[in-house]
Amino acid sequence: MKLKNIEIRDVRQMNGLTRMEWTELSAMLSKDKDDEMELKCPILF
Amino acid sequence: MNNTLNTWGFALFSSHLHHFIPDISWEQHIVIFQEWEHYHSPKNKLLALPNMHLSNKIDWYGLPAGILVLFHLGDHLFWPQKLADEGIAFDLVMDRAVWEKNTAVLTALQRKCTVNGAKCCYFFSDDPMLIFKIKASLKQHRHVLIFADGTSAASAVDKRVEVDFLAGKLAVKPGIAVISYLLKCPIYALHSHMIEDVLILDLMHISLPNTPISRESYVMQTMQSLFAGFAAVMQQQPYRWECWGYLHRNGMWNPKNVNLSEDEKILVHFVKLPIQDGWAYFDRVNYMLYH
Repeated sequence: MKLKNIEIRDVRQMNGLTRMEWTELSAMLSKDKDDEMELKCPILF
Repeated sequence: MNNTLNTWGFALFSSHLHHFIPDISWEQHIVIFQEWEHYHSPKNKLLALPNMHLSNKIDWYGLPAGILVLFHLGDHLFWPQKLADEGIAFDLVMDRAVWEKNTAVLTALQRKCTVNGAKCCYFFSDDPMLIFKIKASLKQHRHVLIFADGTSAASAVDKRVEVDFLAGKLAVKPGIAVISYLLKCPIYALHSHMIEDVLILDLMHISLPNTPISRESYVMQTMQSLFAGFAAVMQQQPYRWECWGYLHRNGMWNPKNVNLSEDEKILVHFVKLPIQDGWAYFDRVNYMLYH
């Protein structure tokens, strides 16, 4: 995955980038579990 | 660059918060996220038994045996012990996957939840005998405690109903209402609220299947009521819901269902996030990544 050398200053610049939709994105996140945090109580249910 | 802002944890939290409570400004999201992180962190000393009390406005011992409903408000593992300490007997329903993942914690909790020598029993939601076990508990004047939200997506049988929740909809398991209908037992929706540094557990709503309506109607009405009451709590203190952090993983909310608003792309919607070999931009309104 290569990010173009661009710092976004205007949303029109997004048009030149590759877009990843949620289905693909969630699969990527579930592998990395980057969004997890340590919780006071374990997750029940 | 603010490190907290450039994390998947914040990006997804913020997306979910925006989807369900769009009135909260983007600038406010980081404040609520930090409150949420602190509140649910093991370091939060407020979440401890000495700071928790059952409301003295409720006759807890006079309630006919029924289903006690709790939500994942960060204090959810303390209330079972508090209820037991106060002499309120109950058994607890959970998903088998939850038990397998948290056996040590739940075994310790079970030891603490003993009332008059009788230990709290754990029932599994996939047990074919579940309804009979709950019926037996109620007959012995024991309540049954069930968590209404958070739902693990792990179970093979995962039938859900969709309920309105704030500005969106959640797919929730209807088991609480189905059991109540079949066994004609009351549902007690419990929410804790904070007064200064003390958490008070209160009875917010009672459902009782005593009117001649169909099972489907009762289930829908009841689940809707449970989450309407919960939504009112969220409007006041959104940081207290633990599930914001993993709502996209537990089957309650699928961001794939979001109505894309491509015309409303604004720079503030985007969060810059690290990816494998660089940076990408996450659109918090449409749940899309640009790289």
